[in-house]
Amino acid sequence: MDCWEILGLELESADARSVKRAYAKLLKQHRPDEDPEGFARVHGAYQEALGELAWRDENDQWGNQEDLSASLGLSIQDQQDPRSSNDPLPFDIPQVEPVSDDPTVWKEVTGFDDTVSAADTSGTERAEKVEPPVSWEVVAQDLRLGQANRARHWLRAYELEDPERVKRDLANEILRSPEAYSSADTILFICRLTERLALRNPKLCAYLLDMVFPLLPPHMRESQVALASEIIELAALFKPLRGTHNLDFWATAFANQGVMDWESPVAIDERVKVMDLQNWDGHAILDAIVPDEYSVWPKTIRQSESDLAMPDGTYYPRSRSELIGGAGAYILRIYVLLYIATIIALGGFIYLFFLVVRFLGYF
Amino acid sequence: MQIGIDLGTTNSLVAQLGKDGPRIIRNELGDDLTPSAVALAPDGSILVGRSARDQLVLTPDAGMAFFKRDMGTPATYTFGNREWSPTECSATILRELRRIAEADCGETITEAVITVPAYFHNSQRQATVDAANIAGLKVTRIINEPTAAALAFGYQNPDRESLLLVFDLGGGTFDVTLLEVFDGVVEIKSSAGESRLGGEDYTDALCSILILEHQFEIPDQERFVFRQKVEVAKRQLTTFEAVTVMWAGKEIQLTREDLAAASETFSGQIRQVVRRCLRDARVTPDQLEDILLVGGTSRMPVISQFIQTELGRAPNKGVDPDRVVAIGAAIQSALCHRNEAVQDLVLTDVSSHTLGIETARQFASDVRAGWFTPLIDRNTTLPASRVQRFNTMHPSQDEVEVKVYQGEARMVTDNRLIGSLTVRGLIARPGQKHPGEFDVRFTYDMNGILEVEITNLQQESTTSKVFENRPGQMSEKEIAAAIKRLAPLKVHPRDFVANRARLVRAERLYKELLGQSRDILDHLLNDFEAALEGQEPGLIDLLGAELDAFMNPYFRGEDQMGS
Repeated sequence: MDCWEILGLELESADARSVKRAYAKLLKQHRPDEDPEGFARVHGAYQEALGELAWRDENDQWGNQEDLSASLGLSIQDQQDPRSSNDPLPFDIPQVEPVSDDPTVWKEVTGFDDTVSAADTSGTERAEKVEPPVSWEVVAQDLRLGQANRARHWLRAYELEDPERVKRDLANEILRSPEAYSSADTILFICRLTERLALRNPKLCAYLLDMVFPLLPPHMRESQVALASEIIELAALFKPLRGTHNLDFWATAFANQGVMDWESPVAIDERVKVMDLQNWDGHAILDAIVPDEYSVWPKTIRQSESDLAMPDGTYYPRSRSELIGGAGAYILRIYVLLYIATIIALGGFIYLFFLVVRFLGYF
Repeated sequence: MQIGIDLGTTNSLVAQLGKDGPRIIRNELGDDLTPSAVALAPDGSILVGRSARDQLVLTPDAGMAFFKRDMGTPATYTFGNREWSPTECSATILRELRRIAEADCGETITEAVITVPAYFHNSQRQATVDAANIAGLKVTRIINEPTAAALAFGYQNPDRESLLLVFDLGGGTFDVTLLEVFDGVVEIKSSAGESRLGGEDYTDALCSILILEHQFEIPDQERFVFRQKVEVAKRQLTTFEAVTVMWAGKEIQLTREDLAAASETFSGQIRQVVRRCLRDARVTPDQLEDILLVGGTSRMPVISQFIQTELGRAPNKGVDPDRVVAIGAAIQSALCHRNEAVQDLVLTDVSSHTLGIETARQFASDVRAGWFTPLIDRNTTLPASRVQRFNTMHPSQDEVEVKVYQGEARMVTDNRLIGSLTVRGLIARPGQKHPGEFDVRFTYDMNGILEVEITNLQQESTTSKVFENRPGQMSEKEIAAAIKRLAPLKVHPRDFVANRARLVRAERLYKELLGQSRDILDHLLNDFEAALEGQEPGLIDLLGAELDAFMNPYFRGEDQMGS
């Protein structure tokens, strides 16, 4: 059941006051100490509704901005906004082919093992399904223009209809015209979108984040930091993100962030957060984010992996043989050989002793 | 009858929701605050409340005060030739409060709601429940003090819509709670606190500053007297800019600046707690609409000043910081009994500590145990249910011991163990869908009952265990033994308590007075004692009133203010 249905309200017409009123009314029927399940449902709906309201209000500003420029006869591209996508980007956007419907290609591009589900969607059973309420172009346009609220609605409708297709189409759409998604506004919007989606569809979220990252020009430091922290937070929240494969991107992203002041406690905190995601292959990120001269190491880094880089750039030894080098190694080896020889000799003696005893026994 | 009890560090109160609203039940001395002190009189009878506090001034070794701070710890105090645990002392206070309430309404009382600081952890709550059981009270519910204050606020301002911060600085504990009140809903959003910070620490700090400054050498017997003097001076500083303390023939001038200097050490702690509370609820100080001050210590001007600078808003002066918690407890008690007067009130609460289990982690080649993996975060709305999947460390491992912890630290050694349960049959076999995996579900409700349910995904079998804090830690046998231990101590009939308190107080005053006033007191006291022996009720009342009229001006500073 939708949170708005539970509260008996509509997203378009609701405000915080009416949500609270409806919640208070329902709460008196489902008291937490008498009807825990009912309360959990009502409380969940209340939280979600407040979240969506905040979201709506935040994104309405964008909608208004767009309306304004439309009424002035300008398109967003015409404005002399430094963040507009007409500016030449200071780096090359990777040229990526649109993703085909072929499940194996899909797997290659995303790194997710969706073979089963993708095959499922291309099968005959799914083909007979009803078409989604609007064409994909409409959603894509909204996405490009930063019409967050409307796009989200469509996406939601789509997702209910056919979750796999949303994922594929969204990915295709972004890969088809990366320039359109390189403006900071849109990227941040996609991030917010993914944040919401992540609750329902973490894999899609991970994929989107991975894709959006290379599209971001390095000079947009502000949004970069926002993105980085969003990613870190998201990664901490949702386990599936930890298996994300585009490690190089994360690494460069962190490396590019001169903004993150290494000495500041915030930066240490962020790094510790990264390190806490134990499932990550931390090497690439670590090599990138920890400058050589940085001498104060967060404790967690040292504790968490035995073979990480030391502050001076060397590595913790990986095996015992690396620990012992030079003359010491030879001496040790000789001792080991002597030890083995002694054991063999002792065994021999015992064997001989038994032979003698048996031999004597015959007489 | 439904009663609510505020068991404070310095003072305790009992309240009731009557037909015309909540009210505090007064004791036979006419006070609504009963000091949380227990002492033994020289004849071996037990003194509770004001008489005990006065006895402690005379003979500091004969009793104990401020034992709430040691609740849930193995600390013991020795007086009257035996050891007392903090639980037993609290039980004595609760028994006294129960007696006060019973005397007031003429019924037997068996159930009560008791408040504890929000930051009390499980074993401290359990000790409180044990104390109630020893006192013959069944605990309907344990609620947090700031929650009670908020309930009282929500009850008294039903049409108010507000995001408010309850700042509860009592005698020994400090709590901050953020909550929202609207349409009869009292919704707790987050709480944070410090279980060993309160007015008594301010007094101690002030004492040590004075001792250092004036090079006093105070023998142990007089320490309590000195402390009591400083305590009174500290309270007077709330109304006056400067006060004078007499000690060892010297007049010491105490000003508000001295108090500010003494409280410097604590403001850092307070700031941290307030920030943690706001951060957990994702609220900025400018979003706050009201700040409630609860607990006697929060009256200090230093505190309002601190709030003004830290949160940019003056606190609300509309509530009585000493009594609001007890009133809230009475309302909660009525809520639990579905009283009609409160049918439009709903309270939602949050968990004050994080709950989780111990896990091990693998690094390269070695496995280390002792990590704390949270399942229910602090400040999650209750009732809450969370599930997470875990797996065994090794395929051939068949058994897992799930240890349940409470706390915020990263490693379990710094957290509190609640209990453990064991699951078997986890050994991994080829062809299984989830080899060695199991689901751990935590269900935590408003009564503080935690149910841990473990599902073995192979066998689809479920093991569960319930951890309650309500039945308390002590078994029925131990409670019976404790009741037995307390039984031989004489409890005086109702009218005797007031006279007894008068006598102790008069004796204490006699030691302090000199010259003519001493003679007058001696005279009054002799008459009163003679009347007591003669057992003439009319004369006792008359002379008692005379004695009170003489003594009251000396104790004004002490009696006026509360916890």
